Amino acid sequence: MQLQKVGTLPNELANKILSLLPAENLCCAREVSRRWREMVNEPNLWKAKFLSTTQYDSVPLSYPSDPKQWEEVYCVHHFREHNWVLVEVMMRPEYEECYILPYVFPDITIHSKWGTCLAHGFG
Amino acid sequence: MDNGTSNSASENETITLKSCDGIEFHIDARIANRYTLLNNWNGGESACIPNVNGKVLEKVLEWCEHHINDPQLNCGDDDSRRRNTIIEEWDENFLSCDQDMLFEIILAANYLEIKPLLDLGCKTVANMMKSKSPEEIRSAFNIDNDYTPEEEEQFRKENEWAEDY
Repeated sequence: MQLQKVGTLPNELANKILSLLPAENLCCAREVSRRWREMVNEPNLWKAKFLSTTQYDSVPLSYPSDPKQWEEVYCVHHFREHNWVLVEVMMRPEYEECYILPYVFPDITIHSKWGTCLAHGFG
Repeated sequence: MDNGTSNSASENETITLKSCDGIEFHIDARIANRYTLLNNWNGGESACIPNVNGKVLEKVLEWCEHHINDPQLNCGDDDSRRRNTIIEEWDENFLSCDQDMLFEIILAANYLEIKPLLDLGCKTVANMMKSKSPEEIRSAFNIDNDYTPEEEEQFRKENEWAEDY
């Protein structure tokens, strides 16, 4: 095969496979070929990613007006999630010393195709 | 065979399924019970499963047989199981077939609505793509790069946000 075949799978199945990949891998997959780019740029893929990273949020999030913006919306939350992973690591017992220190996560400036935006850290 | 009584299928009961190329399989009736679509093809004299050939059906049924005693998943479990990409050793060996077969199995599982097998196939393909660069994906899967160098450069930049971590 010729994983070429991924490109010949019905969209629904290609989407299912791609939905299992983290964003970093999706971006790599998008650089493979035109067909793969089309598969990765499917707004529902990013929407599902976004919804799964925000499913425990107490404040409901507003949906973008244009489905094409799901990736952009996801991107910002991608960094938020990354910060949470760091917080969780810091809270493990083996990191007790670090935890006692008032650890500050800096705000991160994200440069992306949509321009520059700021993801808030935990200060 | 009476479908109405098949819910209480005993261990010795078998049913017959026929692939699209006419190969017959006699399987434990409990397998058909778990998967509605298999059950639909159960029993009819000339009933055969369109779209799935004998080679693929044999693999699919082998998987079903191995997993006959697995607990049935409810929706919630299914979701959490679906999202992790851990694969049991037996399943990993089972799907270490050639890639054509892997894709045939995914298509058949989708067609026959054997969800756990479909999830497993998708996870396997996803794992094959994980942590690979675009070039590595191309060579692993024999895909032609149909981008122009300019496009490649432009799209690489577009993806930079995800590369920092």
